[in-house]
Amino acid sequence: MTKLDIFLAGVGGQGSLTASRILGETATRAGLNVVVGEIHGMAQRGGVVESTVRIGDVHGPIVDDRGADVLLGFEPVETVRALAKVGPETLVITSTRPIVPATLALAGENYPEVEPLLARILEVTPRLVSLDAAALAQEAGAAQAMNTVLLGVLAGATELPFPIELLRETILENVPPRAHDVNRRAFEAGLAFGRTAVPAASAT
Amino acid sequence: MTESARHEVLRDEPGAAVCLLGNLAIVRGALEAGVQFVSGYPGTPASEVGDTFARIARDADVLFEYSVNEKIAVEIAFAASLAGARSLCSMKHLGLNYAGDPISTLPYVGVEGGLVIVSAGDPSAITSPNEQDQRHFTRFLYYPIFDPSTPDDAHRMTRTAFSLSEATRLPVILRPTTRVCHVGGMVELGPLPATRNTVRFTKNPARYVPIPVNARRMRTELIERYAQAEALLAESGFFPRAGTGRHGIVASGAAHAYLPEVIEALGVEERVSRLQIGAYPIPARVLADFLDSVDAVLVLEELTPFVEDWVTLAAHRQGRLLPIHGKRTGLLPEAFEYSPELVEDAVRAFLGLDQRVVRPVPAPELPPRPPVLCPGCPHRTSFFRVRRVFGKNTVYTNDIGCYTLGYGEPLHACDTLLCMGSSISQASGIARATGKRTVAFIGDSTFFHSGLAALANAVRQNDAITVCILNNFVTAMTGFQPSFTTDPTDGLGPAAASVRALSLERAVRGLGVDDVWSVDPFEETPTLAALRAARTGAGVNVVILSAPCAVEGKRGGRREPRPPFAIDPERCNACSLCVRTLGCPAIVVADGRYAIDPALCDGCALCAHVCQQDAIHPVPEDDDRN
Repeated sequence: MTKLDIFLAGVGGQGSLTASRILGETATRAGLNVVVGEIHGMAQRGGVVESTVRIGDVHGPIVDDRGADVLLGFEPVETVRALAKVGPETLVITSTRPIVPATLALAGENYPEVEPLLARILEVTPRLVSLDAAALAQEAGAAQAMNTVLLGVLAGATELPFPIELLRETILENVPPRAHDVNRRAFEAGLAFGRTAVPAASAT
Repeated sequence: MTESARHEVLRDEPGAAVCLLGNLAIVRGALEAGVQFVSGYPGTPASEVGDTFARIARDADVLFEYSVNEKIAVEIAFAASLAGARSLCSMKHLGLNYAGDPISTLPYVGVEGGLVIVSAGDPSAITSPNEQDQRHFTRFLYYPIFDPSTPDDAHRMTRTAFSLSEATRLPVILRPTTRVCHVGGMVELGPLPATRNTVRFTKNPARYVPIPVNARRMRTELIERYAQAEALLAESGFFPRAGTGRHGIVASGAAHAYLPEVIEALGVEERVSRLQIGAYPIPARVLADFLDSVDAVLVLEELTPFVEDWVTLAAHRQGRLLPIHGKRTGLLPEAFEYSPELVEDAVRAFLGLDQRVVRPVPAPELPPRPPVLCPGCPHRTSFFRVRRVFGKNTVYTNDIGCYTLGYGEPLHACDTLLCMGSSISQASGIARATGKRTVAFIGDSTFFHSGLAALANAVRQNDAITVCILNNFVTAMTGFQPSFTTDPTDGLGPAAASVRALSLERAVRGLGVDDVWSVDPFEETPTLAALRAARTGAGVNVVILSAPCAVEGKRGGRREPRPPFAIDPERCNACSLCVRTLGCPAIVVADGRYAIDPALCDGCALCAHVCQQDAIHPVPEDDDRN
């Protein structure tokens, strides 16, 4: 591996920044060079949030257009909004649970159908894993554990340059002790889903 | 061990390689330099500098305060420095303007303990109203300025900034940008110091009092000390060179961070030499040596052609006539952040390579997701009620904070905006010029930051303005720092423990405003009564609308969670009134059917109040939808 570029897209409040920091911390603990980039918007909740995790022989925080190895999408519209980062080799992992922008209701418009959104991704890359990550998180005990579910899917569907156990440990160190069980279950659920969701080919 | 004592910036493992957010790398650098006194005002992208110090101050034995504004923050840190303490002061780029008065004379007087001002820039104006380039402060006011391109740079530069400041007695500015502040990168921890500066104020009025007779002496010393800074910077290691090609690339800040990968990807290592500009003033010798070794220059930097002009001047002084490519030649833009692609395009053009193959990237039509006020935000209720009383023809001046999101559809509560505290003065100007009562919206933190003087001015002039102070007890937009109305027992960081809360009403009355109403915006009757009295009143009046921030109030346990509401589909006639007047993200519409997302709803009940069909009610507590 010379480098692994992960682009994370989501909505404020979903925990995507926490997920990128956890990936960065895990890579550091594995002795790898890592650069994590974040763009914070103006709103505390509900705005577009993008972050990047670049592992290996990298310097700057920005992932080139079409250059992501993995796009980890927390919300279907936001995943498609980040499609510029996706090339034919990119693995796209996306949650299908919409968060409807407040402005849509105001304009009297519907949130786009999710299936056609997924079809747009498939026009760029065949490597798509989609799931209702919020539902898996709720089954694990808390909707807030959705980012842990998605990290599990990422670990299951790709060959990350660090041991899965190290990622699991880092996640648990980043959540309060009372949330350990929920996050452990959420991670396992994501991991199991990720392992079965794509062909054996690795993301890198 | 307390949680803060385990904080990653306090790890006592010299030599360990860790991944630190740029802002945390700055904190770590300051700790390694033995910082003793820290002040600042929250501002994105610098906020985590203050937030981290707030958390660790006690364990790190650092005196910390969130100051009322940047001017006070600089003055306090400067005074601590005069007593010998190594001091740091953090803010965003615009904060440096607010501190313009103290920072302009500060270099004349000079420091004792090292003084470092962190002023974070925001190219692309991601969370700011402008993208000014603070690097010009170096020539304008004689500040050495460090310009990091990575968290690693920021860490080492902060450390060096303190020693440079003490060696030259100059205050030093560290100017990271968003792509350094909010980037996590590898940092090698240095040792935490065993000893720190002795703190004692020694009287020396001739040294500390810039009355004209002293100021003129200080002026000539300042020029010498700035020259000394240039000499020390030449030996600092922050102007690294790589390569021996005859095509010279000079780069600074984030633009430099993209360069190594671009050069490697193009395979042009043999053809170029590069020079990073890590600080200003750029030592003349550094540029002279570099220019001697190249035949043409490309300058890569965000914002103004600052390095480019410096390089042009240096070449002229050397009598070198060589092509210098950059913004002045139209190759690169002055506005907005750079990207690896932009840097690659410039390098290709500079080396005469083929242009990059630009393959079309999909730009699908998608619903926009602009930032909005959170569900349950008390500002939404305040805007709604004020608009109901003052109507659509009143001019609403607005200010810097979450409440700027009253802009546009559907709240229409932001007709003007300029800078911190300007809502009150803009209301004065509009009211006096038009003869019509004007309404200003300003938050608690911003009011104490810079609204007080504007209010005094309005009272003095007896302007027909109504100032609505939106008091949510926190500085929310920058990450929930305590404001001056925060109850110190609220637990917003250890720094809050020793301070007291200020009363908005007493402050306003103390400035001579007689008509003051303090209300909870969620209580309709008293709020409307106060606003109606304000609308028909004379001169300056003030309505203080107080309710805890929807996010922080719940998280901090300052109010009980409220049950979410639901829309009864039998009663809802899809009139869209709730959506058209409130714009709450919890109300979702699909195929003309209205519903409330129980996971988002905060239970503020405003929509239930607006609904004329009586279709919105709290979800019963035993309902399994909750």
